[in-house]
Amino acid sequence: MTALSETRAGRRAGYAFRPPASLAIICLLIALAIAALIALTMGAAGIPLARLPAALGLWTDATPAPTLARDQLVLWSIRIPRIAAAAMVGALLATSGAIMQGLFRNPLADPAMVGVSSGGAFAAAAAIVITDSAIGASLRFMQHQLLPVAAFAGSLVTTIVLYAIASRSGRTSIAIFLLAGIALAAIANAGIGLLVFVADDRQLRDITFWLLGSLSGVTWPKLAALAPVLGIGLVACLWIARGLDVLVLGEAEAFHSGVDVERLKRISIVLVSAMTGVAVSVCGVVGFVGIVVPHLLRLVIGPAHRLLLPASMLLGAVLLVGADTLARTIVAPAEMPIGVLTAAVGAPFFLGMLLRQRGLVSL
Amino acid sequence: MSALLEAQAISMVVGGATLVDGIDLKIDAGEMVAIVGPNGAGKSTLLRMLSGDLRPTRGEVRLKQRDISAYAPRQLAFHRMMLSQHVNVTFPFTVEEIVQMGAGDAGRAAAQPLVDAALAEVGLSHFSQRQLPTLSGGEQQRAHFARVLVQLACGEAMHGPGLLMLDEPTASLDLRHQLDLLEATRRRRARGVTVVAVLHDLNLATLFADRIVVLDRGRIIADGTPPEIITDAMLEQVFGVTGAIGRVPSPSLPFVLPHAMAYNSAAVPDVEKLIAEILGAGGAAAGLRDLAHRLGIPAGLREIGMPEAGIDRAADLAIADPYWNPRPLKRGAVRDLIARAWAGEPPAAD
Repeated sequence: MTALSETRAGRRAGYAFRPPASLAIICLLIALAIAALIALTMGAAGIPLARLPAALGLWTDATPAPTLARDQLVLWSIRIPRIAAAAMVGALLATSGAIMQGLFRNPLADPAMVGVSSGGAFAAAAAIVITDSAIGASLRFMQHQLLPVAAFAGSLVTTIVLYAIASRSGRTSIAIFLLAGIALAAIANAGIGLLVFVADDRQLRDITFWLLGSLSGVTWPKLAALAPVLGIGLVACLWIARGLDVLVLGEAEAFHSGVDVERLKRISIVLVSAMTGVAVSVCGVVGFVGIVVPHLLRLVIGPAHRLLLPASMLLGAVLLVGADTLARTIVAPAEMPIGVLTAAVGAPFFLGMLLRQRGLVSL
Repeated sequence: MSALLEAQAISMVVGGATLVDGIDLKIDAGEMVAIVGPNGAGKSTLLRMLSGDLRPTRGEVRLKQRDISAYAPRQLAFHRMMLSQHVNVTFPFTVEEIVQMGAGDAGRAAAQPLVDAALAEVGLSHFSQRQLPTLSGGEQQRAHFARVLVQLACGEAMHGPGLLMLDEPTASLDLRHQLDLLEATRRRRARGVTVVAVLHDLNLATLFADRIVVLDRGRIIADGTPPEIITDAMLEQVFGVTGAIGRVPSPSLPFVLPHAMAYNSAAVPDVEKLIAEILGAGGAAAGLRDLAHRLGIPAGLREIGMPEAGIDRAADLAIADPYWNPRPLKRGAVRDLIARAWAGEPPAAD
């Protein structure tokens, strides 16, 4: 009896149970709604759940007018843009991680870890310093618009260099990929260090503000850069999903199966760079979201990208809304940089992943 | 009638090394062709060029009278199906999901009957929900074969019987599944599918193909029916072995039982010229390997100056150290070394 059940358990190992796609998406949407609700009520100025509908303008109740006015101010000009930004940044980072992992056929790829975020951060820091100096003074009025563009360009250059170094005749070496990523991150960080060195006090505050990775400065105009990239990203993700699936067979085999591999690579690289760059331009380098989220999802819903990419968007949003809520409450009234928080949780997770795969991944 | 697939003087040169050297090859619709040859003969490179994956440095490959590089990848996938030698899947896709990839962007529901049939054909129906990376190498190979069969069926529905290309499809399969794969290809062939396969096992090639192409050092050196190809002379010339060649009674087919290395005394080369090549060309490792090959000696050179320098006859190995630097070597020292090796003497102690 015992022997029989043991063999059954043994046989079951390696079998995949995949929940239906609609169920997964619905669960994630519910989780996002709950996370957003909690985030709305918590913070330096607490707004109990009972007062929330009135503050949101859904219906009026007995809340005294001054309290209502204060609640509305907190919600609409601080908390809602911030939650929206956290959700969108989380979605962008998690999805760009998932795309990058698909592109490199490597579950350990993460834009923050291999220098793509740092490249974006360096370009954005350079944009801050230049627009603030005499040379770029004429561009100062459009600093808000320039920052995401610069970050995108920085991320794009880094990703292209990384791909050129790590891929050789259609094969990507995991070891070279990770090592090159570390080197590129170091170069970008050295550049950032140099900028910090030459920056004056005001620029320095601007730079360090988001280098730490914080969502505290988010305003409605900043969201304007995030939303279109997220929208385009979602559509593009569904478009490249099948190609990324087939790419798991290797570039040659994907080509044999009818995938235009070169085009797929170009689209993926631009997409990863745009998503990472824009996210970085809003809140600095937030690591490990891109690696933790797709990995967790693959365990539950499987690796097929048509579901994995949208699901990564949702779970990334949930995770970062949660992390941001935590960041602004655990040391209230001060605030923990969110990058510190995600690294504190994500890095041990990553190490755990490495330990589990030690026998499977050959570098 | 013009050929289905035609290679016109194709060459592949990578970093100064010529992997494939001006090959002309015509394959007609419905043929079953095996490409054989020793390791490093350029078989896989040739197949990758024929499949449109690698672009020849010179020459042109034409599929159905059209330059193969002019096909869009998606279009090409409906005409020729190729199974590569090593396919390593890193993400936990299930066997079924992998096999479905063969159906391209055809809907999942439309492809399901094809997927089920292909899984049954390779004997993996019971594993359809298993994650591919958890299967053994041979089972994974069969899953990939099923994927290519689905692609073949999809292509056939659109453009008629396709061109199936297989690179070492039996490399990790047991005897029974080797024959299974052979049968599956034969059934396709009966429907008009053209098959080109790189094979290592000469006996399997004999069973499998009605035409064998022998490749050696980037050139076609023989092309014909199995009885024409499988001969003592070919074994000795190409593989450097002697063997017993027997015959299966019905249908009368040759088989090979290799039993010894051939010491090809006729092939004693111009040692002076070889030394000049080795010392002059910089490609020391390649030159040494070539020397050992041409001499037909089961020996090679190790780095001069190392304690075990010289020729390790006991190990019966041809060793060419890729980091070996020929410059400090004196011409006389090399000649001495080769002479001693030839005479079976140990190298002179330094």
